[in-house]
Amino acid sequence: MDDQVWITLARALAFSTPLLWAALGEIIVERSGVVNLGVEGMMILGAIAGFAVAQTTGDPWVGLLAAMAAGGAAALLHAVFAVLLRSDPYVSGLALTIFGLGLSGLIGRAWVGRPLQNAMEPISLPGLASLPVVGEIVFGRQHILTWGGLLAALILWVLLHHTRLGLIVRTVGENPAAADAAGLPVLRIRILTVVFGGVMAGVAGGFLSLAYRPSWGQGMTNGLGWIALALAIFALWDPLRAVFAALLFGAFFTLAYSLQSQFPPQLLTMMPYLFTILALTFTAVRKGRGAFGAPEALGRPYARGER
Amino acid sequence: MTVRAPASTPPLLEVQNITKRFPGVVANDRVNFTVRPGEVHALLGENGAGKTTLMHMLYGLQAPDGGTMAVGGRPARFRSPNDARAAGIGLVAQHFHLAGRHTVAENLALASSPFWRPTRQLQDRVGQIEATYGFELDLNARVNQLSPGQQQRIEIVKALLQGAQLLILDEPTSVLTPQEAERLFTVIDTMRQDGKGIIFISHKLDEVMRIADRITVLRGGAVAGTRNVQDTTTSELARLMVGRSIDTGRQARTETAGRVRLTVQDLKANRASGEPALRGVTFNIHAGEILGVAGVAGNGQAELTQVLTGLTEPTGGSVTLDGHNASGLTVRELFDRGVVHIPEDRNHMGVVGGMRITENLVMRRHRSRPFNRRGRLDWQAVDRHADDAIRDYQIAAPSKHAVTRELSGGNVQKVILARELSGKPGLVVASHPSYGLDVAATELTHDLLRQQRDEGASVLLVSEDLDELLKLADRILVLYQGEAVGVVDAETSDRETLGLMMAGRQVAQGASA
Repeated sequence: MDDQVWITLARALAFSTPLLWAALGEIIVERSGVVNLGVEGMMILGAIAGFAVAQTTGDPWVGLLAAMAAGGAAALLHAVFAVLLRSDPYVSGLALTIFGLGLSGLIGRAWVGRPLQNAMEPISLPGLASLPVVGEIVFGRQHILTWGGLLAALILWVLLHHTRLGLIVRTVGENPAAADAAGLPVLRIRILTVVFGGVMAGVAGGFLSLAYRPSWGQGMTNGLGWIALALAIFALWDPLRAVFAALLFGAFFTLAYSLQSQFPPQLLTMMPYLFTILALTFTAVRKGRGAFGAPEALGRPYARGER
Repeated sequence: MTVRAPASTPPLLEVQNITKRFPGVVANDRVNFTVRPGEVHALLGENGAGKTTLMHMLYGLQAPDGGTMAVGGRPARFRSPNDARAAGIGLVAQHFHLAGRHTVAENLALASSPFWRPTRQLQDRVGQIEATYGFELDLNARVNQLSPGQQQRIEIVKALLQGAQLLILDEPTSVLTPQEAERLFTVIDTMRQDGKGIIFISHKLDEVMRIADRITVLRGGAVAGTRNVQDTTTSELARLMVGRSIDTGRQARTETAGRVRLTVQDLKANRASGEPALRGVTFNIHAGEILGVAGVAGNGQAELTQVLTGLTEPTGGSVTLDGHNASGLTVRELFDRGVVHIPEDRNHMGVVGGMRITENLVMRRHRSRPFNRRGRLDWQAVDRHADDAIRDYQIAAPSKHAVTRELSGGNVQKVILARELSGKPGLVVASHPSYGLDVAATELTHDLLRQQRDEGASVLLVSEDLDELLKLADRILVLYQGEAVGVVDAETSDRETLGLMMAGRQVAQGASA
């Protein structure tokens, strides 16, 4: 029975990996004041680009680079509309999701159902894997990107809260006029964060088609991009909290699958959304107080002179 | 040994013939002025006099169309605020540029800081400034938990950290309590002794006399005069600020006013932000009378019109209309009692831009005959009404079915006037009714308001244009910081008196209700 807990944790870790990568990207994007609802679209474009390139070159790591590039390029599109042209970021993000789902389906028609020849292989963490009981189950067979996601969360947290770079990104998201008055290029910073968010979503998509389920299936992201969006909010826009939120969400989905004979799975898969609503309520009630809550300029395109 | 004359040190800032044009208006017309080290130079003027444009050019936010600037004797051309800052110019804007949820330290570190832990070296640098100017900042406090006065100090420290030699303070006391303002003046005094230059932008005569060494008055985009503070008086400044009265073409009312229509007693109301905007205003308007409301923008005029038209609930006091209590009534209830509204923002509040002229003309009246027949609009009646209105009010429109957005500002205003004035109103609340209109449309607006008065309506006319008030109004109420400074008889009043009252001065003049 004890094993069961660790097995669940191990599976949750694997399941939460794409959620974490995509959510970390979106957290940085939203911290700079931009909303990108195109996460699902950027992820699926990353998944198909990664699969196509890995299948052609035979190297999944080259495929991952392609996935990152595809996600970043898709995000650049959003940046042009939502940041540069100041169109409605919600419409632009939704359009990106629909566009990504459609385009990936078109590109991937020839590969539907095909397994990837050279997939990323899980690794065993030296040292930790030899721990009694836990070791082999949790640390024995995970993908590099799973551990990479945790490392990325730590690095982003340090960057966001303890460096000038993070201060600039956060200020642009709180009060772009203040950043502008300090002589910082608000639009350039926002474009860069949006592209960074796309690259991270690309990694998330690439993980799916290169490592987690090394194959291509139309719409294989299956709503994970939307959950990543919810996760960014539930984590209250903090990279370290995102790790725990991703694990929690991952556990819900893992349990929904393994307990489906005893428990209606819909109830558990519903939980991430319920938690997100609670988190939103929490931030709305505490509006303007303390350090929690949405970045103040979130979703508002910036133009000098407007208030 | 010779004593060097102070004039030989180059001024911190010298502006010559600087000009800025916007489509249809010259915002700054060949403005000259200088700031010397250790000098507080006030820029005084009404709203729209060109203070903000000048400030934007000094800080690199807008490029001048002509003229030159020199900083410390060297010619300067700013393409961005970064250039201005590099030249030693700092700005404390009226609306602070601070991230509310960040700490004071984080806000101060934004301009320049090391990559790792950007706030770590701040304590030393800020400590020196605190010691010099005699105040303290809690670097770990979150900005949104601080008072406006404290937030302003962050902005001042920010500018000083960036090495500002010349500080522009834009209406710095507008958000401060009197005590906080006193403390700001102490800081300004210290900066003056420090040899820094200060540009103090304001429209308040008293504080300018209190803090400035020299005062440059702007009017209509041009310099109306520059005075040393010891050589001038508030009344001279007021006269420079508002200009001389030209012939206003006043037309007195034909009959004496009738009975009291509107009585406002100790009226209180808040701004949308919750701060008090009206702090107990009392006045009345008779039938057949135009009461002008004067004041610098933001002194409670907007809230007064909102309360009288039902858009805002008063927080205290009473409004009595034709002998009945009318406070707290809805917009519709007030309209049914004869209160009509010519709003300040005509394109957003006055009309629905995307709807036809015919439709805009019956809005508010669509519920009653002849337009409403058992719940259905009688379009023939609507069209007939539009034909009449277009003829009577000289609305220049391609067709009565044209979309209202396509009309010019003057014609939009005529649509509003036609709708609001066509039903024999009892009280007309008109807010800046001629703002932005050409001469002909202004004349028509004025004629219509006078006609309403002569037919027995009461008119409340809010305007920042003193000439308009002196020309149209019978009596003028002056608001200052949410209170009535007084009510004067327009016939015997002049711009100078009004200018002083707008600055909060009680002026002895016999005029009563």
